[in-house]
Amino acid sequence: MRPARDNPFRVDRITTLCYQPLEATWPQLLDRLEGMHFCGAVVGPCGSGKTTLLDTLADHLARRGLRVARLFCSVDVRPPRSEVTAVLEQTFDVLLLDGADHLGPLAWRRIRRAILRRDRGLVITAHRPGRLPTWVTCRTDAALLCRLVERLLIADGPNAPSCPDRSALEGLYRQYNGNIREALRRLYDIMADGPGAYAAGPRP
Amino acid sequence: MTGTLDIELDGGQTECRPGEDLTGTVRWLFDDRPDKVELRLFWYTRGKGDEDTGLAENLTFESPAPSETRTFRFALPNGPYSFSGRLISLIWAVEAVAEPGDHVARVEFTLSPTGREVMLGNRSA
Repeated sequence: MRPARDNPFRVDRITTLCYQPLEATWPQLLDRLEGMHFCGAVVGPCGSGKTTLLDTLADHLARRGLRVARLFCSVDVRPPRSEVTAVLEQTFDVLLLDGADHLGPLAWRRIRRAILRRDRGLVITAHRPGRLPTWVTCRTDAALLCRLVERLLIADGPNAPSCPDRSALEGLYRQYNGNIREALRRLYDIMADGPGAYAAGPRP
Repeated sequence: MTGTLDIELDGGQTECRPGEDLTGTVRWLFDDRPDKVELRLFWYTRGKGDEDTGLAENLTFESPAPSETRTFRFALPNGPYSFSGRLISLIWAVEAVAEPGDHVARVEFTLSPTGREVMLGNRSA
C-alpha cells in the first residue's frame, strides 16, 4: 500500500493542474472572452475540465486587474438565497458561477439580471449550452490524460512511481468515457494498491 | 520584497511526542523590512478526498527586521496523531509566513506516542 501522502494522484496534486486549452491559446481565449464583454459559458461534460478552466481563468483575470467573485452550485450544493445575495453584494468585475445548470430558473434569472444591470461580467460552467453564449467547449482526449499523468509523476522527480503505459491510460480514458477527473481518481486507487492493481485490470 | 525564509527544528527533531516542546529557529533575509512574520503550528490532510487543516497555535514575531534569526517554542498538543492510510494522511508541520509576498517555509514532523507516523491498514509499503 502506498500511503496517501505519497500518492501522486492525491487531491492537492490534482488541483495544481491548470487548464490546458486544446484548440486555442490562453491569450486567444481571453481576447474572445473580452469580445463577449466577459459574459460566456464554459460548456462540457463531467470531468472535462470546466472547473479547472474557471480556476485558471480566475488567475488570468486577476492578473488583468479584474476583481473576481465565485459561486459554486452542484447536484448536492445549492447556495441559499442569502449566500447568493452576499456574493452579488460583493465588489467585483466578473462573477464565475460554477454549475449554472444546477440553478433553478428563478435563481438564474435573478443572478443574470443583477450582473447585467451593473455591467459586470458573468462566466458560467454548464453541461449543456444555452444559458449564455458559449465561450469555450471543453473536450478531452486520451493524449490529454497522458500529459496530465506525466506531469503529475514528473513532480516526484527520480522517486516517481512508474507510469501506467500509454495503452493502459487510453483504456482508462475509454472506460470513463473521457471523464478525466474519474480517470485520475481511479489512478489514485491504482497507485495506492500498487502496480499489481493495474495488472489485475481496471475496476469497473 | 524578495529574500529567503527558513525554519530549522532543534537537533533536526522530526519525531515528536504529545506534550513535548518543539523548539527551533526561523531565519529570514529580505531586502526590505517585512510587515509581518508569523509562525503556525498546524496539521493538514492529504489524500483522495477533501483536504482538512487544524491550527494548533500561532505566534507573530513583532517588529521584524529585514534580516533576523528568531527562536520559537511550541508545547505540542495531545493530538491528532500523525497517520497514513490508503485514503488519507494527517501531517503535522510548522510553517513560517512573511508578508508582503508569498514567502513561506515549512517543516514537517510526526506526532504520536512513538514519535513515528501511525500506519493504517497494510504495512507492506
